[in-house]
Amino acid sequence: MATPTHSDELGKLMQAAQAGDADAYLDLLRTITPRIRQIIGRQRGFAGTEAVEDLVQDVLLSLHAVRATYDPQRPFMPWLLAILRNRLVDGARRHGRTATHEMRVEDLDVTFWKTGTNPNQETYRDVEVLHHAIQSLPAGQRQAIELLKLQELSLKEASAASGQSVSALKVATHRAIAALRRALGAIGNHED
Amino acid sequence: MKTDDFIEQLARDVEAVTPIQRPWLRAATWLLGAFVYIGALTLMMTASGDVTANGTGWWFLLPQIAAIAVSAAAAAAAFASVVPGASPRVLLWPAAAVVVWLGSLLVGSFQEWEAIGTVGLAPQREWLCVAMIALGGALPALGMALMLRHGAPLTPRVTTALAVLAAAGLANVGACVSHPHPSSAVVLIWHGATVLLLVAVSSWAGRSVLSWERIHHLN
Repeated sequence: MATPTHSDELGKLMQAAQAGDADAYLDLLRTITPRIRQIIGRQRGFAGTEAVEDLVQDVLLSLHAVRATYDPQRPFMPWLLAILRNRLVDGARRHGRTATHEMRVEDLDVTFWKTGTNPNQETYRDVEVLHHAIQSLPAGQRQAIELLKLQELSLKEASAASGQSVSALKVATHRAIAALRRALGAIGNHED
Repeated sequence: MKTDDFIEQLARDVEAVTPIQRPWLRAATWLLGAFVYIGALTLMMTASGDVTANGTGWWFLLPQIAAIAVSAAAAAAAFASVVPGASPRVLLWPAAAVVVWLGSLLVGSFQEWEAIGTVGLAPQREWLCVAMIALGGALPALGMALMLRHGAPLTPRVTTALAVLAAAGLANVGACVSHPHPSSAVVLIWHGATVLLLVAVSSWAGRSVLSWERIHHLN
């Protein structure tokens, strides 16, 4: 398989991907990923390999999400680089916000108060129904909930355990919680 | 997940998508719909049903034409701002149109001052205009927000500000022709301030309307 490097060739692959051609899309992603990794590594290499790979996957996910905005009449690389630059700035902003407002604490030497006597405002009490709702989630979402919410693993630990990226886990968790809210809300309304 | 596996998963799940139309074409589509909606609203709000009864002459028409130009340029710029790699020069057009619009109102105020010796800033309240601009522009702005969510949220604050500028600019024309105004200065202050305030608020809310997280969840 010849490796397409010219912007127009990449554009043709993207055009095929827009038409639903999975092989062309795979070629395209495999071709551009080293370039994306190189640019991110140059700018964010200090954050470590894992953070760079996370950002690479984030950029690929963004590219995938907005692939309809690519105009086949225009060159591909400026389109890709605009997304990449934007995600890099976003990543730097997120990193800055986290570094400013969060402090890493290894051990908390404090006593936590007990849960109140009427915890029904935040906690769902019918465990069986909740368990059933979790079981009815799609596999990826169920795994994300089990690892992050039930086993209370960190994102990195859950990522290592599941083989899913941190970004994918975040998305799966968000979707799962929304689905659980809908499911439990529907049950609650039905019982009312 | 390793990046290679992630790539394979993305490729495996890829579905056919229709490339979005060029920004100017999307802007024209939106403008047509907004024009019909605000036109109908204006006719309903006009007491006599005759929109030409509330203002004539060059110094009345020029700000209306400029405001329509603001709306068209802002809509095109908003749609261009969600296309990665689009030229940022497109942002200059709405800025230039806003200068012409506010400038024409300012010059109109001076013309009136020269002619009648006052700029006509009576203690009159124009809350109807504020309501017409805010509520009349709300539906077209919502329509544009829905169209913009198919794009890339590269500059959410700028994009939402442009979207609201486009909608409010057009609603401002409706407010101008739906009832008579005492002077250009009143239009400049009440309409100009309302449009700029709405643009500022929408810019502030930009990230909650358009964000990469939201786009990722939709896909």
